[in-house]
Amino acid sequence: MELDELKAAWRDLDRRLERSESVQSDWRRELALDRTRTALRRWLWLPGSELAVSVLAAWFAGGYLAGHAGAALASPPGALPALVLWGLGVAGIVAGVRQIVAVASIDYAAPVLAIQRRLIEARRLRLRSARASLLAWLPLWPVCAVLAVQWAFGFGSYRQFAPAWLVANVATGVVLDLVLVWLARRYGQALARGRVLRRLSDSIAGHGLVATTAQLDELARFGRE
Amino acid sequence: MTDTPLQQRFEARLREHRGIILKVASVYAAGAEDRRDLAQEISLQLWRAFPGYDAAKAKFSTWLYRIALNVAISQRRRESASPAACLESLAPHHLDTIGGGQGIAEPDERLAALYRFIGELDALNRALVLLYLEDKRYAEIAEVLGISETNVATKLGRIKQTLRGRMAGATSTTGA
Repeated sequence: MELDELKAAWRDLDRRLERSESVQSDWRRELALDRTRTALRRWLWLPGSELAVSVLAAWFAGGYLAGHAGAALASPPGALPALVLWGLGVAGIVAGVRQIVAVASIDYAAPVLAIQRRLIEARRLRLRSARASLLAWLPLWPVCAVLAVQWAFGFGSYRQFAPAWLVANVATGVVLDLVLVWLARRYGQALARGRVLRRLSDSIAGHGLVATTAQLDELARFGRE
Repeated sequence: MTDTPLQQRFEARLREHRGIILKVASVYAAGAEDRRDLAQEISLQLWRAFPGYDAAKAKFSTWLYRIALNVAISQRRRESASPAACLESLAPHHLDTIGGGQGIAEPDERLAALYRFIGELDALNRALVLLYLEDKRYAEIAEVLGISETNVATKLGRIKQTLRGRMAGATSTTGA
């Protein structure tokens, strides 16, 4: 059978579909249920919460730095924890805004290849951001702890923390991150029970990122002659 | 509640082109319920985009194919986690569910072959073949998919060759 011969079968299918299946009234019911918007809201929930947390972090750290500008200039190491948190907050804001803009600006009426690429890129952006947010806290919690102590007991209280303690904890966090990624890649599928744990494990392992890279490669191949 | 002129225009257009939505849904969704869900999601997305449709920029059918295919491909991708399982293949009983769940009265080998063939293609090549089967010109296929006309011709040439090879293989196996 040639591809052209399949056209006859296709026309036959067309007639059968026309006779039997309806679309006409269903879109109104769907509009009332508003499932697409619900799905979009669900999709935006994660970047939205990341954005909210990042705004709070940047606002708190920025405010703290502004309030202790004199002390920070006199003793720059004491400003480091607030600077790190402020940087994380700003990075989170940029990532959150980029994700929301990427999804909100998708126009389904654009050519298929371009829109599919943008959808996959938006998904990759979300996966990267979620993974970074998950993994950042293990090495950075000591920095946040120092800032919390500074906020509660005064700017100079950072001196209570020995630099070696800070370095050791950050380094331990980095090592734990590496171990977590290894465990998630090696045993995640077998150990993670339930949807939430499975997603968490996939996110740490970066499985989704690998999948999106493969999908983008597939699109690039299709776009090439 | 009475319909607005925009709703009336949309309904008329939808009635005129409903075959496109049904065919896209039949190519990307395997069961009757999935097909109905997909057709509904396409219709809804069309309704949302309809106020922005500009006849000077694209033919209505081109605009409709783009939205329908984008919705179908992205929905299929959302539903599958791994790239390998990116697209559910059309099950052998796919034809049984067409026709409002009544199935197709008389067995049709051509239709079965068509679905076997389409079912083996990935999401983008399914779109390409669907547009080809719809008798669209290469220029319009290129416009819908966002690739060059030469690329369309090359890909269709390859698909035809694969199909010919498979048929020749099947003939030699069964004819021997």
